[in-house]
Amino acid sequence: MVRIGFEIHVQLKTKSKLFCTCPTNFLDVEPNTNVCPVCTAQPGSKPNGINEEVIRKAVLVALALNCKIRTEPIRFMRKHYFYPDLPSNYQRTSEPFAVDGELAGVRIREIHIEEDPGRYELRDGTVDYNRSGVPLIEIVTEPDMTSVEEARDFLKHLRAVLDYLDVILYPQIGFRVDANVSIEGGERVEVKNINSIHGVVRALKYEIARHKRMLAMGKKITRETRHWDEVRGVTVSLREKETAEDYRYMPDPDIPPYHIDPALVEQLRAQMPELPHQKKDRLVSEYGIDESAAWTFVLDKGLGDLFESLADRVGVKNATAFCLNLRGELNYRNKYLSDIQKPERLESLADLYFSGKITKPVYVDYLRKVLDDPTFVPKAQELLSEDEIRAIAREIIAANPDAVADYRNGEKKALNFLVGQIVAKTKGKADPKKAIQILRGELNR
Amino acid sequence: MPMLEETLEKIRNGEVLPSEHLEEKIAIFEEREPELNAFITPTLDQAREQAKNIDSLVRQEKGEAFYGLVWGIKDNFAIKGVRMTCASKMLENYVPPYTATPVERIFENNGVILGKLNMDEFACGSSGETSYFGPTRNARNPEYVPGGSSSGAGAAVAAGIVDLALGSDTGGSIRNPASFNGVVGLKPTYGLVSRYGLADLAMSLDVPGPLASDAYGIALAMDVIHGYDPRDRVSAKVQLSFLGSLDKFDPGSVRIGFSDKLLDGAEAPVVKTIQHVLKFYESKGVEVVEVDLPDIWTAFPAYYLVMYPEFASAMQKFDGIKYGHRTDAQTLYDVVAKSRDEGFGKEIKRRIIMGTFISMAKNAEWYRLALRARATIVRMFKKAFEQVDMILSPTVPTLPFKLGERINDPVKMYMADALTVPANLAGIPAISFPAGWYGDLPIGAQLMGPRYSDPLLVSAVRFFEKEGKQWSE
Amino acid sequence: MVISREDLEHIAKVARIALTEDEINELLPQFNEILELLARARELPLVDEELLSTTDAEDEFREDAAIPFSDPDAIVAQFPKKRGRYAEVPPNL
Repeated sequence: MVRIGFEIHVQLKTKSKLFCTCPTNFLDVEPNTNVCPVCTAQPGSKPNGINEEVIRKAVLVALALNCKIRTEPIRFMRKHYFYPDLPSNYQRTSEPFAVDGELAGVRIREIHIEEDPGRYELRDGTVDYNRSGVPLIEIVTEPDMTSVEEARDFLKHLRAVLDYLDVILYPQIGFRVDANVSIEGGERVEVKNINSIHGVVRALKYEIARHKRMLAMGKKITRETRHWDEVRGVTVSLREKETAEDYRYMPDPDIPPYHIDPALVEQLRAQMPELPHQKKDRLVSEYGIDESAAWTFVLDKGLGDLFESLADRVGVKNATAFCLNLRGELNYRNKYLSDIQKPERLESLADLYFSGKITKPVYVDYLRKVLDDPTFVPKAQELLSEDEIRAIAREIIAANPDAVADYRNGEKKALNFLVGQIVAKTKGKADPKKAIQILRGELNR
Repeated sequence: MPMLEETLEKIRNGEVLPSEHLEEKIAIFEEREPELNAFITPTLDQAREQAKNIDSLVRQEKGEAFYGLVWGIKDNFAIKGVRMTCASKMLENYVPPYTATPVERIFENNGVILGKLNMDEFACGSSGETSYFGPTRNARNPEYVPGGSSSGAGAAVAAGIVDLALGSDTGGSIRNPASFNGVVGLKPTYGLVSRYGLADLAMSLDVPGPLASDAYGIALAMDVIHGYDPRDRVSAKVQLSFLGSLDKFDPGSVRIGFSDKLLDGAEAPVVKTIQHVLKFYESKGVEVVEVDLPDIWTAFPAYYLVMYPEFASAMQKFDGIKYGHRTDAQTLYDVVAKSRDEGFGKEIKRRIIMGTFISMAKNAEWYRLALRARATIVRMFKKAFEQVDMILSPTVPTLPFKLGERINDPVKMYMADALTVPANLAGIPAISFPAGWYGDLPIGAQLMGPRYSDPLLVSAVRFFEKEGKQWSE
Repeated sequence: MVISREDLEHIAKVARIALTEDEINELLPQFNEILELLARARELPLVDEELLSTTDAEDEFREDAAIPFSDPDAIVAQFPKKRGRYAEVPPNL
């Protein structure tokens, strides 16, 4: 049996870093500009106190994951290891502030707060501290997942919860995952550094296949830490030296232990927005769609919102069809709706299509363009007039005497062929219904 | 040497301009510094510039609180744009991008900063001999050590080069050089003065504090530098008045605790000095109470077991990547290890390795032992201060020793801290003041009080200065 | 002896201090002398409580306001080796 558990790192959406007032928008600025004495560990600097918003967002997540919030004092610990992206060469990481949660049938063991390190580009040998000190929570699950599908399902649910709470700093980055995986007869292996749900699926498939192969060859699977190489699609063993590090955990004397006020917890509980499972129930009861479609929509927050907006405008049936089709296209691209720039283009696309201003083939073409080309704006087609269609129909009839003969001999398929020729010739600018009407008229004349 | 109050009064009433006062100090600096080596980075030009600005303030009857009094700053406090070495090769060329909170307050209050003062490397030492920039010498007798780690601060104040100095105290680093140089030094209550900008030694013990020639200087300095700082999360939201209570020492209402245990192993002149001080206070109506300090010698191992791991943790940041000494090498590991090996002196390596050992997972028992020993000390003091308002002891059990005498015997060197470390472990204030002389060697006495009794301790020293006489032989 | 020669070499590695042979020879006896001295704490009558710090500070949180540091260039200027605005270290392939 396969057993899978996760440690999930989420960068929290705050304006300033965990222990200093540097801005958190590290993706949008020049290297080493969001830096100060605190987050670059200049001699003499001290952490400036814990960012309140980190606590609020962290507790919100813990509540949404049905965790118990601890009320005893919680200490920040120093976890020592030398690495160029870690300015003080220790990472500040809190004791768990929440324990014993559950999501989608997977138990949450604990959640704690950490500071993100900077960025060390291994190949270039360059270090940028803009990210250093950005707040993270680490969510640790029990090894409750028994297949890749369950694992993927859990991560999708988690991602949806985080999106509904609007707590992810950069949705396009999402979260980072360390996965631990074991199969019967082998030890637990930890795979670090996986950056997407898709990556987790690939890494798990690779790792499970590797374990099975090893056991089949009579080899032992020993406890180890491996690194996921996204480019090559393989996991690589980390050298002994790096895994055998003694972190020398020590409470940070610069940070007094913090308490989470039960009043704050109650306040946040009261402010909790609608969560994916609640929205699923609502979509089923309010719009009468089936469970599975509802889940599909709510697990991508943007898609769920789009569905509701469209249902009011183009009707439930059309909205359902549109959103299911859209989900398929997004799946193909491993994307969330939030990854698509200017998503309002999708609404105008649906409006155009369902009001008959564009034809189905054009709609299919436009949808792909909207997803792949951020500059593309869907517009109503200039449809050809009946006279124009008639002129083209005559051309087609003249050019295809065999098909015309077939049609007249009662071959229904020949008509479809000829309509197809018109659609192709007009590059979709002819309404197919009209084209059939006109074509019939011409053929029967 | 003129009393600080008189100097200040002359500036305030226009008799002496801050610039003129500074030039007097610079003249002493030129004369004494070659022998003492109290400074690492003098900042004469900036000081002159500053004094000139304060001249015009004084003419407008402004210039509080220091009116251009001259400060030296221990070289483990950051001043933006001024080299901070921590007396280490590691930071020989380090220029901080920001200014420490206590220094900021000194600038804002018109203190003129004459330069960065010599010290033991990263404040690790009790003799001023571990500086990468050479040892400082005792201002009273240059053959002797000035004490440490605020060695330059003790010597510069004693020599009259500066009016006031900012030091830091982790296990006695203000009081020890104050004692050895015959000046006053206060280790404030932990958290009373912000540590923001003070390079770490042991974070749960470190506290900045002043050295001055007399209690008045300590009070003047403390009123400015203490107080809450949001940038240091251990700083206390407590506001005290030092000058306001300076002359309010009421012997009839104060009880001083004492235990013979505190004289165990002390040299004879030190014993006599302490007995002399005790008699003085008693003669003035202070009640002297025998207190039981059963665990006082627990402080010594507790201190080292707490300090080593915190120090090792603090020193992790020096890796040759962001700042400081860098030895280039092919691999990441070698860059870090070689930069550290070349950048740090012997005592630093000794402490880092000890701290690394104690904080390793398999040695967790050692660190827990330290925390229990610490709790023991805190409880002992708590009990004692239910009976008395302050406790008198020697600052250092021995007289100053000669340069080179103990530098290769770390254990003997560490023993000099035995009576200063308890206050750091308990987070309580302690003041060292000149109380006796053995020939030309000063002997300091120490008063410790409960948390936030700092102003009372300063006023007790003021009372001794005004009413008492130092012991001598 | 509390620390052996091998222990010391391992600790030095963890601490990233490249000790020379001479340094090891000098430090080893000193460590053991110090540790034996400190080990005496075990025999002392200690209370059954662990105390980390004596601060009275309350665990107040900081408001989430982004205030950029005034002089990041002064931080970049201290990098012992740099490439553009990056700190430079050996690559790790």
